[in-house]
Amino acid sequence: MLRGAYSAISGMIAQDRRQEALTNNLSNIHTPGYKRDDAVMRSFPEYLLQRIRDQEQITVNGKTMPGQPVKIGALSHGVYTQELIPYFSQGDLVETGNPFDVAIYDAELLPQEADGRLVKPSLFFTVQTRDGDVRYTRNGNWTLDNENKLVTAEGHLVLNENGEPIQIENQNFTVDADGVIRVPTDDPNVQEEVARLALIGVNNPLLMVKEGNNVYRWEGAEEPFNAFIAQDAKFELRQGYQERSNVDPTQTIADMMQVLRLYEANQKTFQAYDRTLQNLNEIGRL
Amino acid sequence: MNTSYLNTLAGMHAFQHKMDVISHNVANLNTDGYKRREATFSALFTRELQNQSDANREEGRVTPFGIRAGSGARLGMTRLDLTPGVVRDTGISTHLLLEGPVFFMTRHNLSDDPANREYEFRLTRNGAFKLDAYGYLVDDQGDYVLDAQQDPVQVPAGYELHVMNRGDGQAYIQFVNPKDPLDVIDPNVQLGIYYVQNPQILKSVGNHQFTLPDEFLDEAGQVDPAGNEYIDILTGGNAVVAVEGVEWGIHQGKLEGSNVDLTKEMTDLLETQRTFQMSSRALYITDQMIGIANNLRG
Repeated sequence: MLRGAYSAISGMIAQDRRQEALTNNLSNIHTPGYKRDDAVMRSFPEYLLQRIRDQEQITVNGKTMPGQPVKIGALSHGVYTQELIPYFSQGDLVETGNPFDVAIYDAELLPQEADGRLVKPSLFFTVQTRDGDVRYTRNGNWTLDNENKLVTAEGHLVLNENGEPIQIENQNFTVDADGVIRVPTDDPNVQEEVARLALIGVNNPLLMVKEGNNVYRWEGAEEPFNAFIAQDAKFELRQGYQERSNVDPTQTIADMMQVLRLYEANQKTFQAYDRTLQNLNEIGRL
Repeated sequence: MNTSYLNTLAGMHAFQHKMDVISHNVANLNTDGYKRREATFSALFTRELQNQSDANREEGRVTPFGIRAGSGARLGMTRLDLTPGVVRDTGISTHLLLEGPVFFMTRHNLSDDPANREYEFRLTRNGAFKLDAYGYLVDDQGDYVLDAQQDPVQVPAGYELHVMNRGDGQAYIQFVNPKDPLDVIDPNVQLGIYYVQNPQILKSVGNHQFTLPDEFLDEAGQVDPAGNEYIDILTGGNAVVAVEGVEWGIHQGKLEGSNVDLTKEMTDLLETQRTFQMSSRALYITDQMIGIANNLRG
């Protein structure tokens, strides 16, 4: 009927999806290591419009043929939210003084070419879910479970380089910039090495899939690399610091206000179509 | 749209909980031996929506197919912060201060009925003890403070409690006559000082006391007064008598204040409250969107 009515409604649905992403970002504004999602809109594929039974004659193979369809041009049927892109920028580091907080600082890694684009690599801690799956996280906000194993706030086991859980028997442990966990011994000058954190890096973090509970699943083709071995990997691990979420509250609220107004504008467009149809009904009334 | 509502609500719930934790810390600013808790957040689950029908039409896409929409945040954990509190001099002989990651042990009666002698062991950092009518060392709720054998400490009438470190890592108890410093009773027992390897498993039971969770205790935490099960109960779990390698100290006539830093708590409170406000703003915006959808018909 009136094609634009559907475009207007698709605009409303797309803004609704964007609002979902924005509210989720705002709720996670204090979640350590949370990376915000940006909603990307895309136009529906274009359709070719034709005028049917045209009065103008067209000529095909030397014959004139009246009443045939004639091309008018392309028309888009609206918009949809194509993807939510996690934005892997470094979050602010805040000092907590708690030995169980470890933050990754990788803002100085140089962009690498991945799938024909320049993407900044990103580093992650390796954790194991209670189902035994290996996942990755930026949340270095840890504690000990009842077996003295290092766990995230969600209960995922933090893994060492060999893919095993890390058991810590002493609260006074240290994590150095190279991810080595040490505990003090009876000799104050000697520290015992317990384990080394499994810190991995990926060249294209956009292929990290958010699974919820602050963990990511890797969907890329190549295996993630060990960040400690990688050449030129400029990063730091900081114990006693927390990486804050990279959600910007001002930006989020401004985006929400924009969402609201775009939503309203699409509604007004739809109402204009509605009135057109109403007028049509009036004309037809006897 | 309901999702936007629920995302915001989940966030607001979490922020409210954090404000609860902060106000509890602030309320205990002057509670001796109080250890603050610190609330941290965790993201909730993610839903994956497959809204793409045709992969060929997804040109320029940078992430794997589908939309992964989160569903807000929750309170992840409230971690116990065991940094030492401020030291306060009182000069009272039954006031004890602990240094290092160790606790006193008290015996808490579970019932007021004299015939029912069920009790459980509790750990505390608050050394504001006093003597009851029979000379027993009790904490401010009247629970007995225990020695290394899990027995109450009775100070004979006319004597004062002295706690001294003889350099072998144990806190020995002596009773001294204040009028005659040479009149000393030495029962050769040590005060029960307990080290908890993983203090994060401690359960707050109010009145600045902690217990171990039930999975670390036999028979739901209750101990037969005649039995000697305490060693099994405590070492089988996580609390053990002060061990080598753990540095600790005890001081008499001093008290440990709370480790709450008012400036930090107020900063956190301000930040959380502003985020709460912003979330309610987001809720309002979502509500307006729903209103717009309802008025689609004009």
